Amino acid sequence: MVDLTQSRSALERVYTPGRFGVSSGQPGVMISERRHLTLIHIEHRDDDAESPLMIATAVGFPLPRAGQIAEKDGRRVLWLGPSRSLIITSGSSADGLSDAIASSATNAAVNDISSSRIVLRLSGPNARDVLASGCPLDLHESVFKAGMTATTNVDHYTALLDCIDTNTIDVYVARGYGVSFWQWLIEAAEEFGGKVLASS
Amino acid sequence: MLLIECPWCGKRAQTEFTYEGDATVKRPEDGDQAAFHAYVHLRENVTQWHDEMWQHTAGCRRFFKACRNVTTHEIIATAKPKGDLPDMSSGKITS
Ligand SMILES: [Zn+2]
Repeated sequence: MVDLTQSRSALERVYTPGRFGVSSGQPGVMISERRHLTLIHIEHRDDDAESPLMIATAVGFPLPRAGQIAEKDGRRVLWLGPSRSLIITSGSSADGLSDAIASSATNAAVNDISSSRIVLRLSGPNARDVLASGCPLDLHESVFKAGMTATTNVDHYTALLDCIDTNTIDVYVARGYGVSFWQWLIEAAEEFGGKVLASS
Repeated sequence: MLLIECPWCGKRAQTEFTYEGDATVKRPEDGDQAAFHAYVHLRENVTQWHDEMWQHTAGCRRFFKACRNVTTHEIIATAKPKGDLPDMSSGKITS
């Protein structure tokens, strides 16, 4: 029997580990797809003061402030907008979390959207330069710092950026745009020399 | 590149935003045909400051208000939907 429940990356037919672009010296940017993540989208009314407390109890810590990230015990919560958050988690930290939030914060909309995004980790000294070539957000390391998040445009695709540290940014793009975004990304990275790493 | 200040996200590039219409019209309470005609179709043809609805489409997705000079494209202020914009009816910057 085939396993029809097995998840497949939208990038499967284009994702090839190895060097590309300028081949001399160290690669300026490393790209690695993060697969098998659990993404939980939460939204509640602005005038609902109770839901954020119930969500915090289920997650284990308070929701982040505007533009910020909160993280603990393998659960990373990104601010998406007023009264909207995205939880990134995996493995045992993800087990039952969506149901726990939904049954605790009964007035919030809780949706598992794990299959709806491709997630790429860009790292290396030119990771910010690659993104900046298609993104209007100020990505200078003194402005967009570790622990900050923003939804913006990257080459006309709506992209969620998660700043991990000075040289590392995670990019979330809608799954249906995955291959198109990938093609833009590879072309943008060529001038710095790139390396596709094994997916995680 | 024009920068627009989202009340939640701060200054962002114009390309992240969508114009969503005149912020000075108010939906009629009752079903009066003439009032609805005016609400849907009739607009002032202003040349200076105009209160507008905008949406941070590629960001937090929220609607907000902006006071924009339709000739120079200068945006003097933005506010949350229930917030206040400066009164620019005299045509001068008073703030
Ligand atoms: Zn915004």
